[in-house]
Amino acid sequence: MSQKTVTRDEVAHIAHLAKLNIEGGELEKLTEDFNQILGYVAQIASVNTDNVQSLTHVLDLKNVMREDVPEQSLNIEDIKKMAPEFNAGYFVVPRIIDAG
Amino acid sequence: MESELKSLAKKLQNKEISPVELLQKSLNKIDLLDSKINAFINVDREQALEAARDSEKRIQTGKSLSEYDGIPVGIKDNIVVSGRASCCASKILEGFVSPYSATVIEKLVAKGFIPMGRLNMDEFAMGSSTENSAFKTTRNPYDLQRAPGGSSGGSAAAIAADYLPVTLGSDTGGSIRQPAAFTGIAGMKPTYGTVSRYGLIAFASSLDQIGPFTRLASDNEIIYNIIRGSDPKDSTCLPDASYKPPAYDIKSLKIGVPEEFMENVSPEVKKSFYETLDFLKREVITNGEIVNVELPHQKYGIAVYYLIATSEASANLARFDGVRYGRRAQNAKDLNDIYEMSRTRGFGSEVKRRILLGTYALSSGYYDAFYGKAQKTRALIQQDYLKAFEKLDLIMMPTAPSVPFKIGEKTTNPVEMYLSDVLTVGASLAGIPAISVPGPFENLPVGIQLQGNYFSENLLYDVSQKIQNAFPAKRPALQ
Repeated sequence: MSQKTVTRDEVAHIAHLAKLNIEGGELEKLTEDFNQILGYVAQIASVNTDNVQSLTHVLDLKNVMREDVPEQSLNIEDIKKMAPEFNAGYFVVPRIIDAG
Repeated sequence: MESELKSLAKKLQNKEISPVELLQKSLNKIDLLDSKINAFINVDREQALEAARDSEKRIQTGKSLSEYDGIPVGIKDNIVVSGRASCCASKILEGFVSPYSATVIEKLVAKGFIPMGRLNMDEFAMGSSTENSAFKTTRNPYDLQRAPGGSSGGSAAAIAADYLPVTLGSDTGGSIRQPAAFTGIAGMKPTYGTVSRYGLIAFASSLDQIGPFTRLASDNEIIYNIIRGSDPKDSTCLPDASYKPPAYDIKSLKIGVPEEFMENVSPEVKKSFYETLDFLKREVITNGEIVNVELPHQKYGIAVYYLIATSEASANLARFDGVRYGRRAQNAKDLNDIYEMSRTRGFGSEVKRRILLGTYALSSGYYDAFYGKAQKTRALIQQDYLKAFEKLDLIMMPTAPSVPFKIGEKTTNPVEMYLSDVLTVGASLAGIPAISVPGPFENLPVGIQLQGNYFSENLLYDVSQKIQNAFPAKRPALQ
């Protein structure tokens, strides 16, 4: 992992993957920051991690199970109140599939 | 030092002061000072007053829920309270009113505490100065030109300004400890998994923990013991049976100090830290010792932390899509537009920066070199601690490398801002408990950090309170 420089186009592509639209001056600044941060974090390449297991949970926690009993969940009125657009029990979004 | 919570509890139970009067005193202080300090995004006074009136009735009819019934507790804006807005200091969640309460809130309310207001923070808890809030910049009560730390800057400033006796914050890489250090108060990041994260809006789930802010460590312990405990709604929350605090003899404690980290610490912080160690050696651990400890992988902490935290954040924040809750951008033509426009307009620049870094670190071709490597290095950081705690009871170091920095001082350089967490991320990555309490200081507060093995909160609180008794923090001069 050498000090590879990330280009503006690459940052714009990553932004697209993250569903963010970044352009112009903001893209310029973020690309600069990005390279600065990558330059810093690249130091972990020098750590010897041969035969080291990844740490995914700090305390060796087993999967927590519960009885499969139905419980009260959020009611539809509460969900409706939170939603930007809601109709007849559904979240409303623009048409996704063209009428063909 | 006398417990503030106990003395307030006594006054409330003896009816020397009523919960409504107590709350009114808080509100008066907030009205007087908060236009300068900006600790609160919103006070939500009607909701708090209603809860205080209920508490008053309970006390009058001898039905108190606990001795603490009627004590107000300030809540960071990323912990949800039923019927109240919570937006993580972000525009994307503006207007979001939670239909449920976090488990910590349920636990406090069950004891009669009165949750109050929305305390300011860095947007989505991403920051070390509270300058990344979409709404306002919180100021340090000791010097209004300086930052209160972050991300829980509002929670810390509210205690330092003496608005109320307890607040809750959250700590992912230092977001409780560093603000506690900058504002001369006590702030605990508990052992990972001891406090439920249900109802804490997620930033980096393998690191996030809720913890209390109070002036005194002894009061902090009271709140910690109320909010901790297993929770079926958070599968990373540990079963109660596994909570095993250590037995110890305070006189014989063995304390480790990682001397190599002291090189980049400012002179006033160094002075306070070594004065604290001298006091402990002289008066507390008379049969114990203070030794140098090596934590060889800790120097990679910031790099590991920023890779893991941003990777988890990029996944956690994918839920903010403008469809189910929060703000939806207007004039979107199609579904993709809704996502992109809502997120682009809703998130601030630090949040975008971190989502991008996380997306990159997790992306195909870079995963092994970044996220995978960071997970392995995290294991080494944890192993260093476990090895150290075979011989030591405690590890001590300053909380932050400097006294509070000026507002605007670090905003242009993200890496420099990230480095202000250099002494706190280690405990977060290892999941061990760590507390910050004020050491001796002249003008600006200095935080002393104590880190212990898993479940050693009792020991951390005990030693912290001894430090606070020896060096009571000067209060900020506010008018």
